[in-house]
Amino acid sequence: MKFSRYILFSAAMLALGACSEDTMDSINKNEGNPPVDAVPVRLQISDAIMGSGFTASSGDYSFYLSCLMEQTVGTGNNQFAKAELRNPMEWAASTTFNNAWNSIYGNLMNIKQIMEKIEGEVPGNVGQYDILGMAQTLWALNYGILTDMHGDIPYSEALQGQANMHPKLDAQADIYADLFKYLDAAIANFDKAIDAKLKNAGAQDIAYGNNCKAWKAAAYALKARYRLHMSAVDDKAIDDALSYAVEAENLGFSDFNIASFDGITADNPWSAFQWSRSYVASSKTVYDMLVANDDPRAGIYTYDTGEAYPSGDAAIAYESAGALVYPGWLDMGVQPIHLMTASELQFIIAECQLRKGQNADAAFHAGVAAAVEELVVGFWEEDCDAEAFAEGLGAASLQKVFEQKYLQQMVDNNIEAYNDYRRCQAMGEEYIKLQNPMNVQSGVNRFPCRMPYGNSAVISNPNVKAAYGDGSYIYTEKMWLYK
Amino acid sequence: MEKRLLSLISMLMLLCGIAAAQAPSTVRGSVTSADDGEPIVGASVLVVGTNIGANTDIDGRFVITNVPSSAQYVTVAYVGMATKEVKIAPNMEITMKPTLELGEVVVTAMGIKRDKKALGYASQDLKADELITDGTTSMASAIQGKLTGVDIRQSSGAPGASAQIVIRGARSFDGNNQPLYVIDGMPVTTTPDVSTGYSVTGANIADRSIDINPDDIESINVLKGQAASALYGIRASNGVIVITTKRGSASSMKPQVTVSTNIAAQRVSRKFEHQTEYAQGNGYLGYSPTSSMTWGPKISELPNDPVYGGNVQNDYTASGLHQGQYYSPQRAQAGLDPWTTPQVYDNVGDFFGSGLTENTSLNITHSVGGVNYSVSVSNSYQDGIIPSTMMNRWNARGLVDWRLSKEWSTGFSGIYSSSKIKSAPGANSGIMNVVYSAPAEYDLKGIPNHVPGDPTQQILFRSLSFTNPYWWAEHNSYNQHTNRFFGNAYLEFAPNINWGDNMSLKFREQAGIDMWTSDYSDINEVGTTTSLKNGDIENYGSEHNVFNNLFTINFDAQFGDDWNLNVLLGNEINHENVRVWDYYGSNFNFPGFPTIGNTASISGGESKDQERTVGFFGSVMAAWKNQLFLTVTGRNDYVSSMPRNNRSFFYPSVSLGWEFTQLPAFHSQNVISYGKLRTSFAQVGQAGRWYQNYYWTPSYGGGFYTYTPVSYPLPSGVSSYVPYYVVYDKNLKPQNTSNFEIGADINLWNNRIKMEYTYSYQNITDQIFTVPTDGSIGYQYVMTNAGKMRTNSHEFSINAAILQARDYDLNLGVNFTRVVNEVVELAPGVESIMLGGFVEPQIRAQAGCTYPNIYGLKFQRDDQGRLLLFEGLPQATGDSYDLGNCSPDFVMGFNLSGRYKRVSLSSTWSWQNGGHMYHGTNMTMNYFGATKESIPFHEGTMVVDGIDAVTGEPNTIEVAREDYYRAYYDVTESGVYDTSFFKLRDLTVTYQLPRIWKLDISVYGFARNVLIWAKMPNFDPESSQGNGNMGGYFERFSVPATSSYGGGLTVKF
Repeated sequence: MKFSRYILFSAAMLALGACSEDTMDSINKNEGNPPVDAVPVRLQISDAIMGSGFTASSGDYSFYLSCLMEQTVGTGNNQFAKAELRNPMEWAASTTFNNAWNSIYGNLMNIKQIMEKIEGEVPGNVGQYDILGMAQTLWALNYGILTDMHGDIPYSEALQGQANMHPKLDAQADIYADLFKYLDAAIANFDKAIDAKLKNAGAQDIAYGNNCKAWKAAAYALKARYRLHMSAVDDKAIDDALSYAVEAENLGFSDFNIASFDGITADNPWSAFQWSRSYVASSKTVYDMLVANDDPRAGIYTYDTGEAYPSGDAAIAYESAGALVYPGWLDMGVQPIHLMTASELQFIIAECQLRKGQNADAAFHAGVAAAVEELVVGFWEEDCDAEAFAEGLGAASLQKVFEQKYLQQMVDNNIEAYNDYRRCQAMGEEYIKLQNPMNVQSGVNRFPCRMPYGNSAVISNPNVKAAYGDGSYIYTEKMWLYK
Repeated sequence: MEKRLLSLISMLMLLCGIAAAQAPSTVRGSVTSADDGEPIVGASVLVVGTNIGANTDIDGRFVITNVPSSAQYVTVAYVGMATKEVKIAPNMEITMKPTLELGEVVVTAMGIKRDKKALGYASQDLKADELITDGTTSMASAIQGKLTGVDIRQSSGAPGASAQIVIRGARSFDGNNQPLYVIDGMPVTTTPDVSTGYSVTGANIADRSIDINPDDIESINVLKGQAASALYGIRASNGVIVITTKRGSASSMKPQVTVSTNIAAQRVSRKFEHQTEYAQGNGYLGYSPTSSMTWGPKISELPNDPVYGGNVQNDYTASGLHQGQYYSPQRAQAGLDPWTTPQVYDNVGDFFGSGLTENTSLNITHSVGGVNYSVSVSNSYQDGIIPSTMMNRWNARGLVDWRLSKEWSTGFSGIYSSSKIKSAPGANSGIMNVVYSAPAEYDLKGIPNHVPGDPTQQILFRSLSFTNPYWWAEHNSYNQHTNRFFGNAYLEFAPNINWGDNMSLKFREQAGIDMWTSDYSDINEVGTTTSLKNGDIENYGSEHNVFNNLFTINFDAQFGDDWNLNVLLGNEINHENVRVWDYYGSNFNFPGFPTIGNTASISGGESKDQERTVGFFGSVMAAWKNQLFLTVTGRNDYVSSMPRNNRSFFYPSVSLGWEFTQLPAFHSQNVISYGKLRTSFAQVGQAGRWYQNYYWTPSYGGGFYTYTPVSYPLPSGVSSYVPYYVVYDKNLKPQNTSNFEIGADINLWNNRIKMEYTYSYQNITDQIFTVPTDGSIGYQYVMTNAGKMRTNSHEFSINAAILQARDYDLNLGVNFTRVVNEVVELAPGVESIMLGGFVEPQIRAQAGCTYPNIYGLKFQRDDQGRLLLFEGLPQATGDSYDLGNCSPDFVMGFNLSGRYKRVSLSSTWSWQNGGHMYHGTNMTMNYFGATKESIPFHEGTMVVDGIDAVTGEPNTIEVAREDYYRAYYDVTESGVYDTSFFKLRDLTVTYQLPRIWKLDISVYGFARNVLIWAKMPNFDPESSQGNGNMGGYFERFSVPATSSYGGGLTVKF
């Protein structure tokens, strides 16, 4: 071969493999997961609802607050022993609620993208006001829980991805004001959807099966819940809350539940938690209240044993996991997650009526009966006249309303129990007497007045880090709602 | 011109040779050592091209009869001496030189063979006889203790356990830091198929270097610096391990068969000794037969226990006292006599059995008519010390080099490997916690592990959130099975060019494939734990197909007497296709048949992925007067796995070597026999795995859940998609590593002492990693460029031939490595990122710390460092802090070997100084009151030394000693241990038998990992969780390390 032929041959061989950007793009195609705009919002709304229940309403907040509110007792010689003994390592650590923090904001990102796809008229999602209303309702629910737990949180600058890696903290008052706008927008969208008979979500709506009227009622019920949260800081809160609650009732508000569990391949988070860890046991604080009224829930609460344990007792906390009696419903993996119950709505009405000097007996009895009916008849399959028991409690008083609400909240509405407790404290009232001696140690308060920020925020957002400090603020700095 | 002259002379000599040996004749001669002129006894002399030969006698003399007339040469071989080919002559006087004196040739990037002295960077090579291949099945243990600048972290002594091999520190925070492996010219993947992620559940997963049989390796060359590896482009920033497998050499004119086999027994290297004084329970409950802890009463006092004692009136003694005995509910459950006399059991010793490792290989090499071939078949079998764990691997290998003509040559190499591994889980899924925490009075082995007649009802001393280890071994398993083939074929063309006498040109085309399928199956039978009461199974795996094409042009030229030039041009295409699958089945219909078909619900999926890299490269090397060597290289890569318009990267390197002992000034002295200075600079990068942002189907698990309570589709059939929690930066660019290296090689006293020193500085910028973000941005991670890292490393080695004689020798090699790998900064606002662990503690990369570090809760202290006590007890901080650097201050290896006549002895020692690990087992066993160290704290009260946090005064509050001990070992800081250790890694004694008939036989015995001096109590520091960057630093109920004892036999004929 000649010199030039070698050069030619070499050049041809060396050029082998050169390919275009388009070829490289097609090689780099993600075959395992769909691109953003390919997914219709109806497929997103299911998990938006599931996330609101599994990690926001129930999940870690509910587990820990159940222990704090003495609705269960922490045991098992591990995290919940520390929580039970009010160890700051557990309560003040930013890692404790990191999973919840990340998951709820992740869920809010999904909710935000649902709203953007509908409002931005991304093909395939145009005019889906029913799903838009659901997303707006869930937005208010999730942010409501986040700010109730943590106080001032990233809001106006949150959920912007790479565009803002260090969102600032917004004041709780501002966030609350905005949440009502979302609920109002949701109500308007549900009206549109009802008019147009929209059924865009169908079975993908795992809360109400695309019943927009039920959703509209739920939006009112949430308005009532969040307006009532403001009773310590806003004189008009009681009036407003009552009118929203009545509106919800008139619309036929039914339990805002996620009932997607079969107890075999899909389990309620509380059951999954107990089956995984066996960290909670029946609390004497609750049991004593049940026994005092001869409450039919005493059976299910102690697995028909009558055994319950005092709060803050090291011997109980250090017991090995699984050794103690726990509430019977925890073994029912099929039980729904309660985002907001009809019973809670009745207790809201009752409280507002009492505070306005009105008779609240009907609402009070209805609230108690609904709670007892579900637990005793529904789950424990025991014969029981729930209404008769409710009426047997006599005339409504704030003491009774808060006691019964506390018992209704013990299943998985522990966040609301904590909110009510702090709100009453802020109003100078105390209906639930917490027994845990470890709430004060060496004269120092060890009952947190808020939950610590998530670790991801503390270590990568300087704004949150400044607010978190060493974590001890959870014992001293009360949030705006409950100052 | 010179070359021509040389060939003419050799032709003439050849003719003379033929003339001298026309008829069958007898060849005689003697063999002496060049060193001392003494005769060499037992050297083998073989007539080339025949199988006729003889051994030298006591006077070093040999006689070979019936030598055919065509024979020209004999080869002379002897241990420790360089094999020599000598022309047949009457009364030959052959002198042999020790191997030490030969000029070393090393394989560098792209298979280019170079004189070691021509390199401008550090390079270290290991020959087959330097590897520790007996009684081990893994590459990592074959090279441990032998190399400088290379950190090898074994995960445990379990069969198929993964190891992390990192050269000169990490370059990626959370990505791949393992070097590129090139086997017979082909890049071969060695990273694990499946990452163990945060490594807190499940079993270890083998890395794919397990497919390489260390016995097949002829040599390993480690290209440490980026200048050495820059020609490999984007995949080579972590260094390259170039492996050449055994091949037929020109001297093996008759087939040479090697059969070797060895067998070894394993024991746990450091056995945990549970305290034997106190029983199960705690100070609040007393004796408690379900407690995880052993803070109970004295074992001898159990018969007096108010609830369970047989000496006192209680529920159990209602029908009569049982003097000297106590009631065990578990024995009752098992149908045994519940009354038992206090006794102490060695539960740890009972559980860990003896392991067994067996390696057998058969290898044939031959060179015939221009064809060199090598074929081998081998089997490695290992039984772990944990019941049911094992590994079985078969390897088959074939390699042919065929010189077709003067211009053309071709060949191929192929390796097949099949491995099956059964492993045991660690951390949260672990069984070791149950073994270690078993109270001494509980007969873990003797009490049946399940209720009679019902294997799904376990019996255990503690809550059934945990699994009885004996039950586990009988019912559950973690299985790995891989079938792999990798190999390549090449064609070389070296045309007879007429551009001048001193120029040569060679084209080489090589195409290869690396393909494997791995199947994994994790089985939890019905009754595993309370949360897995109905059992589950996960079948997952991947299928890989990597095509590699490499084309190179090599041009060599010599200009005048002073200048040599070598030019290399080439291109490489690498395309990988991967298919991964994962099927999960839960709730078995009935026990005893744990297959996915027998589950009530199945979910799963599979996906495909592709990646392509195209590279163009070139290198120019110029040598002046055989003493100054300059090499410049460049490579441009195009990768598919990066965003559009950010796919092309260029990487340059330049290196300079100067053999200063070529200067006339050095010719007249005998002290420095060889001296070289070298320096280099290079830049290489690493690409990320970039995607367009996408949605995925989430599931609910992790956190407190020990299983996945909810996944899609829901029972109603509803499925869902949400934004993935990682967002990808569309401006992602490759990360960049700049490396500057300087060093010297100096040999003293006729090369009897060889010293090498290298300093290397790496500066890594634009790190690609998934930056953890405040969850409130809507994502948990951003895949982007951020952060800086820098590494200073010092490597020093000295090899001394202390004694050298025909009958004996003694060699000492010492190597020293200090790598300081600093995280300079992470992304703005990000102070640390998680590599693995629990919610707390974790292994992290933290700005301002060395990489990586332990991150967790520490004790609250005052300004003077005194413990701040609350109600008399130590307290933890609310948040996590840096608790210590993981990587050691320095690591040293010692290789001492000697030979006396036919007996040789070699040993490898390792010394690691400094460094830390989180040892969750030590900490938890202290917390549980299970350690011997806890014994003084089981009874009585004390006033802890410290300051009362409320009053600010020295503490006066009296607490139970148990409370103090538990409070102390509840804080992660107490679980951080110094990992300094000194270990005898290997001791091998070999006896080379005198030749029997045609057989060369050597027998040997060895002991591995037998002597350990460690700062850390109770456990071997070389056992940990994970197969990623956190490996080696995070321990919690990990499978333990082992020591082994064995022997073997090698037969050659």
